[in-house]
Amino acid sequence: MMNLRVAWKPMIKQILKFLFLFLFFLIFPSLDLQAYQRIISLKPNITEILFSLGLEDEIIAVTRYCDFPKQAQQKEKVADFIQIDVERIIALKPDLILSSKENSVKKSYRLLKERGLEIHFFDFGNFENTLKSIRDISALLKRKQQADKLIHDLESRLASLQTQNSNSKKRVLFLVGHYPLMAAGSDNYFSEAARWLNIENVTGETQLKYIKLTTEHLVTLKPDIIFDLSMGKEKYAELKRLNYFQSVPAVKNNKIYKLPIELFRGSFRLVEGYERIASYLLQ
Amino acid sequence: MLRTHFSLRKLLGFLFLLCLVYLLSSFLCALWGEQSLSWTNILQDSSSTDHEIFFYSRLPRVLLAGIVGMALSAGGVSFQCLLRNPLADPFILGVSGGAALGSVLAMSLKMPFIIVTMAAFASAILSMFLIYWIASYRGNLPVHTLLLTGVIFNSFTFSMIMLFNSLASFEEAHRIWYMMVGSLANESYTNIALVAVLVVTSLFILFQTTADMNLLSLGEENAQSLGADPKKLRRRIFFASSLMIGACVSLSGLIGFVGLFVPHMMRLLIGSDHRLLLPGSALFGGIFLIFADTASRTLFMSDSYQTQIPVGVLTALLGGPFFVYLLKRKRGQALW
Repeated sequence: MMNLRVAWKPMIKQILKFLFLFLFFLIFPSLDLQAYQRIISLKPNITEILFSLGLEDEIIAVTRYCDFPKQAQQKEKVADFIQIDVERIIALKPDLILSSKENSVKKSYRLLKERGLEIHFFDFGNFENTLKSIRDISALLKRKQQADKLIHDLESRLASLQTQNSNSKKRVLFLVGHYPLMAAGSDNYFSEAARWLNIENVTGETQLKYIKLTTEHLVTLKPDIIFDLSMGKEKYAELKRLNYFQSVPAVKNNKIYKLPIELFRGSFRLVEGYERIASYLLQ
Repeated sequence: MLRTHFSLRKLLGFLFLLCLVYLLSSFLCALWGEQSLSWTNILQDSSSTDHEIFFYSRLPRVLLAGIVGMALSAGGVSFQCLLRNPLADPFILGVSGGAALGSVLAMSLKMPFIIVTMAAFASAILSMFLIYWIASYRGNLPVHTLLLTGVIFNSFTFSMIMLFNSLASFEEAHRIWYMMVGSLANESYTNIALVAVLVVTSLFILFQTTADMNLLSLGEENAQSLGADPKKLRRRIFFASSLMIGACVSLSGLIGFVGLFVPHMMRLLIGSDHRLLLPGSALFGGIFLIFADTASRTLFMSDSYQTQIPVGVLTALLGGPFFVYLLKRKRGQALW
């Protein structure tokens, strides 16, 4: 009897504790607190997307190449284009890591997974998949409304491009590298530009996303316009050699334009990239 | 002076024949390629695609291949004579590697092409000195130490180049990588002309010493007693060949084994009289590299690959087994 009577007090304490926890978990989700507080983005385009969704404060680390928006550069850097700094990432104790399926070294990601960290990979291979990935990211981070609004905005801007450009079909080459010459093939942001702009990608019927070109091949493709997306800082430095090939319309009419490849990372800035292309088409 | 069984007429006749083959193969290889070109278009219509491809894509490449092939083979002959060692080759010894390191260094400092060439030349000479100093043992130059030195020197320079490669920007890294595997594509006529001038000057100097090279290959003492000045001679051959190799590497990158493969083929054909061997190897080396480069740019052009392999890969694939053959040949059998 004595024992039972004494045990009442802690029991009430227990019940109160339980009630408190119960109430807490009942209220917590409806407060809509951000589930993830420490996010690491391992790709520049993901960083851009997170900033667009207004998640600036939740990002704790980014890559060396995350230069947009400007504030992204102030975040800690834990990766370059392909390699990631596993030690630093573990030390930062993130609750979410976001990366892309392309250009990721599997070995180092396996290490992170083994540490029990939550990693999500998204596909930014082409336009459709990019939109899907943006939706997935926003769902994961509970920013669906913002994302829907931004995507709607993007789509309407693209639709207006479609009506703008209805003049004759231009043959376009998208150069993405000089050493060796690399051009956009099919199923990527550049080949998909044809959907909204009245252009034809000269590398046409290939299976590859990006193809190696030889100078000879480039000359015989006879593009009307060449967009140079290579990363070299000097404008056209390596394309000077093309001046010999006056039988190429783009060379003859001096229609070689430099486009910043950053616009085609796979973020909301894609539409800006397409608008740039459209403006050059009108010239 | 050494006597040979060749008469002057036969000698000149043979070289003339090689010259003809050289011109013919440059011509044929320039016509052969991914796009089939029509001869009438090339000559008559200067605004046609065929004309432009022939004169601005194919011809510079074939010319450069010829020049580089000449320089590497003649360099091989002179190194083999200089070190009195049949396995000496600019690539195996590490001289090419040293030159590549110099030019990569100059390239990453964004120097103009002439400085890059000079840096390649300087580092070629420097590496030659270093290799000689490391490998020589009591005044001798044993084969195994020389090869080992080459291996170590090569891996050291390659590591240095890879270091620059990792520090360089994305676009530049590709360029450095191309230098490592050797490529003759996309050069301007001005660069080719500059290298050609340097190579021709060096070849001219070397051709003047061919008779003395014969003496030198008998050994220093013998050469001296036969009236040559070995020290002066060595210095001359040394500088001329390093200049040539440096110039080529700065433009074409590392194309290996040509300096080994070609001279030995030539020795099998015409013997080891340097008066004939050196010009013969030079011409044959040019022909060899022109064909090798043509093969490298056309072999994998079928639909499933659509790519050109670097010519350095092809020469190494041929040269590697050949090197093993040379090494495993019966001892006692004269290599010269």
